[in-house]
Amino acid sequence: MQKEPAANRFLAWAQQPRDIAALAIFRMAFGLLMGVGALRFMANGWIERLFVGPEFHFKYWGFSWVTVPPEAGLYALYIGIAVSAFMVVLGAFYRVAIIVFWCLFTYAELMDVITYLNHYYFVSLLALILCFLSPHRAWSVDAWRKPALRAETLPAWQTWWLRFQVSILYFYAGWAKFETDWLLHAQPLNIWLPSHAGMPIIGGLLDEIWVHYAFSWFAFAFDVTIIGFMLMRWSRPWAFTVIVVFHVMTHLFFNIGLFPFIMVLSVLVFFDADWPRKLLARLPRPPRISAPVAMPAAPAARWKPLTAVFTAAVLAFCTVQFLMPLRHWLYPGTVLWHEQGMRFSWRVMLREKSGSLSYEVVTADGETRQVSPHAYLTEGQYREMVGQPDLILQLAHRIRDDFNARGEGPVAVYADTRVSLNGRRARPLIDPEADLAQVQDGLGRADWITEPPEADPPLQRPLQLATGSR
Amino acid sequence: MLKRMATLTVAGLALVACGGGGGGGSGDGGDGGGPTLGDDARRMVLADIADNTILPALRGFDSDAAALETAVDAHADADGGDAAALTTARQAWREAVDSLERVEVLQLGPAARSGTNDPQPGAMDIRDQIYSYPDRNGCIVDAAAFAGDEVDEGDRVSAKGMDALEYLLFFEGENENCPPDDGVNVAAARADYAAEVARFTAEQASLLLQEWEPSGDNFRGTFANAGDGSMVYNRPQDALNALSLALFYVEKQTKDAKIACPTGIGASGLSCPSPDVGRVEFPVAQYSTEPLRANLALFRDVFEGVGDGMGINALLEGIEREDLAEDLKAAVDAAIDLVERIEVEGGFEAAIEAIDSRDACSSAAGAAQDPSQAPTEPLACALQGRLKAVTDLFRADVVGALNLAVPQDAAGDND
Repeated sequence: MQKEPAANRFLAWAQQPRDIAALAIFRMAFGLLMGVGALRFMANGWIERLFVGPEFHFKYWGFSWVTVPPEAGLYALYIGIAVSAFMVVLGAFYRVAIIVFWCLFTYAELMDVITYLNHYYFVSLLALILCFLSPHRAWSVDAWRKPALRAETLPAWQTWWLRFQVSILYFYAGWAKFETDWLLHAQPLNIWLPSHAGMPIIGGLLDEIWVHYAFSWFAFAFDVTIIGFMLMRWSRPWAFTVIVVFHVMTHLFFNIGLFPFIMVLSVLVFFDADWPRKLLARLPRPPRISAPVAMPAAPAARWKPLTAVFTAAVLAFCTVQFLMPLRHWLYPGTVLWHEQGMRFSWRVMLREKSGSLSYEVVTADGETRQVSPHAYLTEGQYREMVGQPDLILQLAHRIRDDFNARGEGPVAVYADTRVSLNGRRARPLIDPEADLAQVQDGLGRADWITEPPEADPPLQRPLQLATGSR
Repeated sequence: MLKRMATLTVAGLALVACGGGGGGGSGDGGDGGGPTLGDDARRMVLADIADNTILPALRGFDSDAAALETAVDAHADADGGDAAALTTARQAWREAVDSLERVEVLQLGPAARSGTNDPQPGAMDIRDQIYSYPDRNGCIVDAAAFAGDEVDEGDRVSAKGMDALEYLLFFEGENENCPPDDGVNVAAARADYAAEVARFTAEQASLLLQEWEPSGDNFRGTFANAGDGSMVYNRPQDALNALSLALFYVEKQTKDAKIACPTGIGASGLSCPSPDVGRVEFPVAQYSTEPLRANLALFRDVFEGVGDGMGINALLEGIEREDLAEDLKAAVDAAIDLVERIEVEGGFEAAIEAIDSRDACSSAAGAAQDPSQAPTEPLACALQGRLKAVTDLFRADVVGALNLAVPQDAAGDND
């Protein structure tokens, strides 16, 4: 008997029917979290603080066309995000709702680099994937309104695409910790954890250096291995318990908003597809939908042009996702310092950077002027950008353009920076001799960024005061 | 299965709890002669800062504000026409300003503004009732004076406080930039209104002090017992963060607004393009050197401690970051030394007037590089450089080492 070609076997595997229940619940939970997140964003006044207040907004490379709308437009944008998210929960006009959600959410994230968060990027990717999935074919308004749409199963590739994306995040978040500051010097946890020493139950341990090391190594091991444990049925419940405890702790220690909730939600895709029905079946009076679904026969593995194109697109997407976090290898020195390849690569809570910055502008007639970032930025923007060279460059260009527009150009702009990485003594991040007015941002190696510090970060001992020091 | 997992999780947490001590601080707490650890150590430092720096500053200002009220009353009793009474009132104002400028750097707790991007726990907006810098407007003050207004909490901040008093006591004659006075006796009206403003200021100074006093509302206890029964600060770190946010005053106000802008260095942006003595903190009284010294002295006291008391430097030393504590001390001392030299050489206003070109301050940042070197640029510019050395160390190194808050930390999430 002739063996099936690998491509056909792949297609057969991808088309295996699986219970729709898990993805339907995932759809609801994702939409609910995003809807609540958008309401929280507005309720916290972040529209005013992050978008209305600042005069200057940092652009993503290649996305300078994305502008910040006026305040009413911003509220419309976030209300749109919330409404579309709740429509996703309901499965009402799902395809339109998830596409609208993705467009609006991604636009909001592209408005200012300062607001970049790994979990926002993750949400944007999940929403993009969900645009191509069909979790609305059960337990939704759409399925209620259109009987022809109803389905009890979905092809396996829909679950595996989500699993791939979640795995990429954990895997790279783990390997990003495979570096000396994190593993050999327990930084930045050695700086961050002691301030929580008053926390109930475990607070007393958080001043201890061995705890900082233990947490560092555990977080590394957790991130790198947890998906493996989630993929195996026997270890899945244990792994999920560890995930919940881990993210509860990150929620308690760090101001990371929805991140822990999103991560707990996202690993639900690793459970068996029928887990919601099994859970419902445990109720004293199980509802009808808890009954197991009869699996239909898998469709014949037959490649059609559209199938091939779509498969190629998904594989290309996955390849980009796999390679993108590795791009920092193209740049010498630690990415924690130069930050080339930092974003979109799942480097989560890896560094403590604090610093100061001022610009020196030399006008066409030779006068030298100092310009503080405060002239353009809010304190929050300043705090975020001072450790990110490409943002320092963007503001330098804005300053250059302002001086030129006032007829004082062409000007040279130099950055006076002092940045501390993971507790090291602060040092210049930008070459003080580099005229940033002439530097163009791009993907090449930025020789205007200084070499990373060679010294190891200090290991700060647990705080203790000699009684005699009073 | 689920039940077993839940049991094991609870057991694990209990084990951690047993090993954890649970108090966020251990050691002998100072009783047994051993070291004080963790949060107990942080509370010790907070208590020392409260007792040796904050309370004395508040008491000093309360006392000076009361003396100012008395002096301004006498000036008003003479309808503003007694030169000796005016001189006495002006001197009392200067002394009150010296005290105020220490309190200015302590905008945390009751003094702080509520409803800002950096909400300070326990904020009661009292500072704005006392002083509104940089918000000032002589015409508003004159309008209130000529109308014979009384002063209360609801009035515009620029119509009251120490900056209004500066205008009322030091601005002589009619202000041509303001609407006409409708024939009132300008000197008498200003003197009467000054008495009203001084009364209200003294009242607010007392209120602020009472908020902090252990015998009053005891914010001192709230601050020093952070994380141990404090109703405002859940952790000692929260109280340290509040203090850290307050200390940024020295960067944003002292360095950028009070020094860089008048010198024309432009650190406040493109709005201060050239030297202008009219942009000093007290342009009417021309009294700027002492306030700068007071700001810096308070900053120094918070870090170094006063007398036997500890400051933030003790926390740095307690985690073996003496290098930072020593460098910060040297930088602050160098800045204060320069203020004193400026005073000897005629004061900050004279130092600004000595700047003879827009470019003269171009190497001000160079003064920051080596505090031990005598500055070669105009002294006012060098002072900005010296202060930049202080605030850069604070913002880049100290904040990082102690995980302190910087302004607008709470605006948004992280990851």
